[in-house]
Amino acid sequence: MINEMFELKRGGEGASFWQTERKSIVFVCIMLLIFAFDAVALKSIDPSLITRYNDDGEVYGDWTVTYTMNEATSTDSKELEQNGVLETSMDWSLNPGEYLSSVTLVVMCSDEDEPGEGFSDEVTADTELAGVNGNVEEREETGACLENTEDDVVLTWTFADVSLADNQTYEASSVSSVEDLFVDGTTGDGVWAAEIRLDVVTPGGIGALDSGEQITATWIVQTFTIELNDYS
Amino acid sequence: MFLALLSLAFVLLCAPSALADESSGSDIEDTANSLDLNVLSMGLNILIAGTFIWLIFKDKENHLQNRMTLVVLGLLFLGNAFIFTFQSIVESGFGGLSEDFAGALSLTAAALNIYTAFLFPLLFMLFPSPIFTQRKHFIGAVISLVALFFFLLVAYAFGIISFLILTIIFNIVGISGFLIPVRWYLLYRDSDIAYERNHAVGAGLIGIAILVSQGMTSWISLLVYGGESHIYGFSTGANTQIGDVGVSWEVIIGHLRSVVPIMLLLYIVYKELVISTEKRSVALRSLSLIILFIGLMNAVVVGFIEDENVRNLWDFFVIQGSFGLVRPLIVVFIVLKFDLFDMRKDELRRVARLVALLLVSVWVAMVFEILQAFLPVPQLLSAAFIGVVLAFAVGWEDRFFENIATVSDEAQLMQVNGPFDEDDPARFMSLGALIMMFCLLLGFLVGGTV
Repeated sequence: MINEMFELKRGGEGASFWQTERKSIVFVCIMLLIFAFDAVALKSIDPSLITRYNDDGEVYGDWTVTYTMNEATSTDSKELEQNGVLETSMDWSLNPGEYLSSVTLVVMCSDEDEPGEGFSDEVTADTELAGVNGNVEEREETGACLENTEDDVVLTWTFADVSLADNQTYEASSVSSVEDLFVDGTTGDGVWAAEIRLDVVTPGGIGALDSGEQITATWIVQTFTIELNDYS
Repeated sequence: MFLALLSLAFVLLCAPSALADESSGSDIEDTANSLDLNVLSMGLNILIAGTFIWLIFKDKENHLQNRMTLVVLGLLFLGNAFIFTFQSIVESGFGGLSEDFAGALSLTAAALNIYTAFLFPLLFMLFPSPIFTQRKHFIGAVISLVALFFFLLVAYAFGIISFLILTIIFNIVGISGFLIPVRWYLLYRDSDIAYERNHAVGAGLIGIAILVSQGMTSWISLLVYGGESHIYGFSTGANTQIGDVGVSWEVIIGHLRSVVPIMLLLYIVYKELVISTEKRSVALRSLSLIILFIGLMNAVVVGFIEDENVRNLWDFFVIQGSFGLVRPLIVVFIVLKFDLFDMRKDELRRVARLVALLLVSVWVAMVFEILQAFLPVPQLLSAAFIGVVLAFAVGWEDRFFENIATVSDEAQLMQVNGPFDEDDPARFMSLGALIMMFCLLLGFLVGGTV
């Protein structure tokens, strides 16, 4: 049973239902009128105007994301002798809307005059990344100049994950939330520099055979741009 | 209890700075970080939930109707406390939460949000007076609410029903509940009998306390092109439906849940301004005017302030603060004014005064923290202000309690025994706790860590 104070007053002693429940009826009617007005008004708003009322002025949608890869390279080469140093660097910057995928340093040296196994020259790459935007780890790595091998030292720094843009779909998302997936690729530009040092491994008595090597250092910068298409 | 309160006071004072690592807190950017407010709201809600639960079990001679109201209020504040706790954990990161764990906590907070929303109709069914006089009807209504809650949560979490269906059902339940205090207020605010008017004042106060978080402060939106500012603030879910297709039905139906509270607020403001002096409720009139003023400020900030930090801070203060800071204050006032526990018992009275003092202290500190964000007041001066306000508050609290205790004799409400059993408070507390555990489980299941 409903509380007698709360139950609907059905009218009595000559009073009609309308008279006893007038306020409640008017309240509900106004509520429904406002709802109807809301529905008509909001449904008639130009969708292109409505985005400005979002929290952040964002555009939301169901997005298909594709990407276009770009690659830039820079090569320095020098004939080095024992403890010789090749200084190499690449200065570049990200364009607006461009994300950094990876930076790779490839050092090549082919010890073609080695007398045999165990006598290969060694090359050491020591990076200097103080001029790079963002917090990028400096590295030092040594590799042997083996005969007939292309890459003797390879250092790779990975930034944004481009696979997230490989025909991926993101439903009911804002543009910036999709772009935020690639935020790791918004830093990393600047001056990438390294010193390449050669250590000639010379067994006693046959040093004349091994005087030095041709060292080639190549910087490879892979960037990409993304395109969002609303498929909804 | 005293020890627990002192411990909580210590945590409240230390936790925000420990979690947020905020050095000065004197500029907008620092304060716009919502972590401090979340932690403080968490503390306030734990404090009030704990007090209510203590009162329920300590004062067993209290009327069952009052104890049941305190149970629902306790569960509501406990739910809010957990929501703020999870939000604080996610926001602070605690030095590196896994993505899955943070996602599970956020989902749990969302589920608890729906749970607390389902407590609104239950509370309105009990206060100012139970709308059912027979147990079978009351229990039937509770079982229906609980069953619907489980159905909606599970069905939506596992993709059985769409967001639109969820919105429609959720709003039907919500609006039906919101209309209960509206009806109490409409029926008896003009009554010549003080006893009947108490129900209208109680309904008005609880209506504002609960519905302030349901868009009440966006009342200006009703006057502007069908409620455009309602759309502001729908940061997820419904907002994603605003694109090439225009405003979705989810948003439009969701508006109705704000329309009822706004209409209630505007009617209360009108009524309290024109009602005759002998029927006037100073508390209700002041409260409704304050909320009306905050709504006006809200429109100014949303409409004219460009600074993102100020907007974020204000948005948090209005939206989160409405149920984190404003609601506790109003509810404590209602509990005291309508004698939901026996103030004549010394032990209960002592604890209530201590809680009220703690509440006022934390609240004043928080308001000054927010003010500091807008006004370049030096820390020392701000601390001095807090000291002065608290000094007045301590003196005022003594008089306030005396006044409330006197007035409470005139604030009688209809007491109904029929719907309740002696064991119901304990049963409902256990049921509420179990449902919160379920929300946690569901959050982790869907969040992906289990």
